[in-house]
Amino acid sequence: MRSVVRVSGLVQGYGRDPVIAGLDLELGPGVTGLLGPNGAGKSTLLRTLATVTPPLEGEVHVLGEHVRSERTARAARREIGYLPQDFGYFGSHSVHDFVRYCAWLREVPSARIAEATAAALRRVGLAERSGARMKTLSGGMIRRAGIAAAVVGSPALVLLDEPTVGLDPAQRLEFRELVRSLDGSAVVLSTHLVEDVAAVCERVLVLDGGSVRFTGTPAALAERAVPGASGDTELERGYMAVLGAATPVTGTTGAPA
Amino acid sequence: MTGRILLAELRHSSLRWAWPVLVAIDLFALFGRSDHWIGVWSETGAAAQVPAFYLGPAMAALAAWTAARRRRENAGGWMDAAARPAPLMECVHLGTTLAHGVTAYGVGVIAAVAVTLPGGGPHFFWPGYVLLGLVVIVLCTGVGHAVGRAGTSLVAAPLGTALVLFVLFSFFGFVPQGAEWGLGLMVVSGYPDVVTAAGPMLARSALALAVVLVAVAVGRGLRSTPGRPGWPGVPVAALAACGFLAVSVVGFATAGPVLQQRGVPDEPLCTSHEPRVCLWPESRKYLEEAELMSRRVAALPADLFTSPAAFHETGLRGETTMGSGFYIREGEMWEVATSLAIRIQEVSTPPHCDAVTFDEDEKRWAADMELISWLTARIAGGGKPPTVNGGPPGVDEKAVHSIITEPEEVQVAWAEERLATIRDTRCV
Repeated sequence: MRSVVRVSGLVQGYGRDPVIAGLDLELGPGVTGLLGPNGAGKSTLLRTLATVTPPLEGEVHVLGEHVRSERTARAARREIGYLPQDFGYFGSHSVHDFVRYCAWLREVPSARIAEATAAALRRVGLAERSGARMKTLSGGMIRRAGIAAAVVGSPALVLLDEPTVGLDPAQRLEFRELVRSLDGSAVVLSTHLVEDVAAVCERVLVLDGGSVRFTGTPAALAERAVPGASGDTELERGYMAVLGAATPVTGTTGAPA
Repeated sequence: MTGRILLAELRHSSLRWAWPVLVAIDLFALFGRSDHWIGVWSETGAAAQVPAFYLGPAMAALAAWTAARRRRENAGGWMDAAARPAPLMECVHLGTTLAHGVTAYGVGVIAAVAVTLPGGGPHFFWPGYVLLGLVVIVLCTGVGHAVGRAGTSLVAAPLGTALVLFVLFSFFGFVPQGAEWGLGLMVVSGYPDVVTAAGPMLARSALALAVVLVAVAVGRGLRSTPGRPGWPGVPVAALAACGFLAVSVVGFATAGPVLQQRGVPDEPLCTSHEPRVCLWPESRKYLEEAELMSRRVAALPADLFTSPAAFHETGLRGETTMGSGFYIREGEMWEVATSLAIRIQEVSTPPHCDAVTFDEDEKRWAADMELISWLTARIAGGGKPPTVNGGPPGVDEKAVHSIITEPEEVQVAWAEERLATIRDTRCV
C-alpha cells in the first residue's frame, strides 16, 4: 500500500485530558470515511492531519514527509486541501475571489490559479455564482464554496470535516459525485452521516474516545451488525455495534497496491 | 499573483467605505486651517503633511478595527492551514489597510501641489515634509494592526489606540522648539530656511518600516491557539523584525534634529527699491508686498530714523537663529513689518540700558514700544489686522495706529517726543 498519511503514537488534545491518546493510523489513496460520535476526536484528528495543530506526542507523516516543524508543515500543506468544520470567510469577497484566495494560501502555482479556481467552482456547481458575494450565499452554497476552496488545485490529500452539513438532499448527491470525481486525491471525509460513507467511501474508520474502533470496508462494517442493534441500515447497525465494542484496533486502511 | 490578491483585497476591503472620509479629513485639515501656503513650495510641502496629524491616529484606529474584525470572521481556519508564510498573509492585509491611508494622504498631496503650481515660486514641491507625514501614517497603521491582532475588541482597541497616539502627537509629535522635547515627527510650517535632514529622515523611515515588519511578523503569532505552542522552530522573521525595531529605535533616538539649516541661495530675491528687502526665492509671492514695505521704510522721516541697507528673511545669510532676519509666519506680513520696525528702532536709538530710576525705565520702555508699534503700522501700511494677536506690552495700539492717519508733521512731532524720551534716559 502507498501510504498517504501515517500517524503513530499520536497524543492530541487541548486541555488536561487528551482527546486522542496513542493513536496509530495509516491511510492510503481513495476515499476514507471517518465516523464517530461527537467528541470522538474526528475534527482534532483532521486538524492534526492538516498540520494545523502540532501533536503533543507522536509522529505525523504526510505524503512521506515527517511533519515536525513549521517548514515541513508548510511543505505538506501545499498538497493538503482542508475544509474546517466551522470555517470562516470574508463576507464581502466574491465566491471567485474567496476560492482564489484559498488557492493562493495553499501556494498553488500562480500560472494555475485562475484555471484551478474556475475548475473548482465548476466542480461544486458555483460557476454561475462566482461573482456573488459570500455573504449573499445560502448556508449550502457557502459550504459548497468551502469545498471548492478545499479542492482547488487538486491537492493530493483532501480533508473534509462535516462537508455535507447544510446541504439539501440534491446537493448531497452532487457532493457525493464530487467526492467520487476526486480520483488521484486521497480523501478523508469526516461525517455523522453513515449513508454518505456507504455511498462514496472505499474504507471506513470508526473513531471513539480518541481511539480507532474499526477500520475496514463499509461492507465489513455492515457485517458487524448484530441482531437487535439500533439503526435503519446494516451499515448503521454495524456502526452502532462497533461503538458498543471496547477494544481499539490499529487503524490501517489502505487500498490494495 | 500576490498583486492580484492584494487588488482583490482592496476591492472587497471594508475600509473602502472609510476612504472618502479619510480624504475628507485630509482635505479639511489641508484647506480648513489656512491658505497661506498656497504659492510657496516649502510651505506647501509642510501643509500637505499637516493632515497626517489626524490621518495617523485615524489609520491606527482603522487598522486595529480591520485586524480585529478579520480575526472575528474566523478566516483563520484557512490561514492556519495555509502553506503561504504567515508574514506574507499579514502583508497582504496590512498592505490593503496601508493603501487606503496612503492614497487618501496622496489625494491631499496632489491637491496641495495642484493649487500651488499655477503661482508657485521657483523650484518645485518639497517632498521631505510629505515623507515625514507618510512616516506617521505608516507608523500608526503598523501599531494599529498589531493592536488589532492582539485583541478582539472592535471598539475599545481602535479608539484607545487612536486616542493614545493623538495625545502623544499633540504633546510630543512636533519638531521641538528650543529646549522643548519632541519626537520630531511633524511640522506646522515650512520655512524656506530649513529642510529635512537625510539622516534623521532615514531613521524615521526605518522606524516606520520596522513597526510594520514587527506587525506582520508577529501578527499571526498573536493569533495562535491560546495555551498551545505552534510547531517547534525559531521564529526567525519575528526575531529579525524585533531586532530591526530595536536598532531603528536607537537610530531614531540618536539621529539628531529632523530639520537642518538650508544652504544660502546664490541669488536671493530682493526688492528693487532701497532699502532692499530680501526673500528666499520660494517666497516670491510676498515680493510685491515687500516692495511696498521697502518704499514705506524709505518714506520714514530720514532725520529721525536710520534704516539698515537691507533686511533679510531668516537664513538668507546663513544665520541659524532668527537674529536680525525675519520670518514670514503663516503668510502674515504684519509680523514682517514688526521685524523691520525693531531693526530700524535698534539702529536709530541708543542701545538699551537700565535707567537710573524705575520711573525713567518705565517711560523709556513705553516710548520704545509705542515707536515700534507706530513704525510697524507705517511699514505695514495700515492698522493691525485681526488675524494678528498680541503686540508690544502696555501699548494702546489703537491710539498709536490712529497716529498714522494724521498729517506727517503731527506724526513727526509724536515720534520726536518718544525719541527724546529714549535719548534723554539717564543710564546707570
